Amino acid sequence: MLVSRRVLVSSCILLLVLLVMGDVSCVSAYLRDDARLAIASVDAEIVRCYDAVAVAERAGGNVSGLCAKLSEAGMFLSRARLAYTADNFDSVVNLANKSRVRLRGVIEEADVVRTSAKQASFWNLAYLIGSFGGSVGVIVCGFGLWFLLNRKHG
Amino acid sequence: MVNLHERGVVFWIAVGILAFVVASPGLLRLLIVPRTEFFTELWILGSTHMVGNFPYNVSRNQNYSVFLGIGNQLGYCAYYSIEVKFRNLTQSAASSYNRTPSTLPALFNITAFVADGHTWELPLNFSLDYVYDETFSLTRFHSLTMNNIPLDIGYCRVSWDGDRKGFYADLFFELWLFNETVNDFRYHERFVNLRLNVTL
Repeated sequence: MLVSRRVLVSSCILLLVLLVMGDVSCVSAYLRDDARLAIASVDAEIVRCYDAVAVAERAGGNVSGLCAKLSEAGMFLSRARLAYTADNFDSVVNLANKSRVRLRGVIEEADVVRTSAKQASFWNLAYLIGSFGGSVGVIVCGFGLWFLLNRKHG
Repeated sequence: MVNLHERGVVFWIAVGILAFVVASPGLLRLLIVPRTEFFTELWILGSTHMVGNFPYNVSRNQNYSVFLGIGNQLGYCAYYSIEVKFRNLTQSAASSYNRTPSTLPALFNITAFVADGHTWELPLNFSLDYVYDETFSLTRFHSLTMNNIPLDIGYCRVSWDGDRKGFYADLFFELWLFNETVNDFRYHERFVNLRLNVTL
């Protein structure tokens, strides 16, 4: 009887310890340093993406879609910073990851926009040259036609 | 009978018009007036998305909505940060005259990337939690909830303003611009604010 009571009490204590440990591990899954690193890493990633988008825009590409993605990522980063001030490090890492997900593929997409913008600007130049060349051609043909008409009609 | 001279005039006018028509797509690309002013617009609109219906007399835990917007005319894709700040009328304010930001810490940063010539807008819903302290005749703030994000404004207390007959506070938004050279944000000398009369 006494043994079974001891077993019951020890089991309860063990269960309690396990519950507390589980709870503690859940609360402090991430430390302050992890959170700080997560923020710094996403912050640097956003700046890298922004640089790529800026280059694509300078090449003449339409980057409004990429800007929307960056804004969304930036918003998650801001919320991560706020969570950091409240010492909520799990939230920090979670929000930083959400931000990172939004940034996925932005640099590659910006490269595609830049390449197509460069191609478009090449065709724009060709169009410009063609347009002015055509105009000069019309004038030259006019001279030729005028010369022929003058010869025909004396 | 049309003489040679008149025929020549008609012919060359026709050639000129045709040459102009052929060159016009190219001319359209060249005849663009260059931009000489580069700036950012920052605005706040009321709940009806117009310049009006701004929240003024506010009650505890009541929701209010406004729209915050940015127009980028800087000539490049810009990285902005809008610092949300809250103050009573004796605390540091942003100054249009000195072009300086408030020294108060930001409660929250709203990040926005805006392409050149584009605009960005964010609907904002906010509510204030506060209590009235009858002993000292002042309002003690607890929190500002903005788009479901609770922000601590426990530092702010508003005393009765005898001249204007009310408890006044400012919710304001400062615009900061990312500077690639220094790799940090610099105050962009623009802010908008909402003057709030806190009712009991």
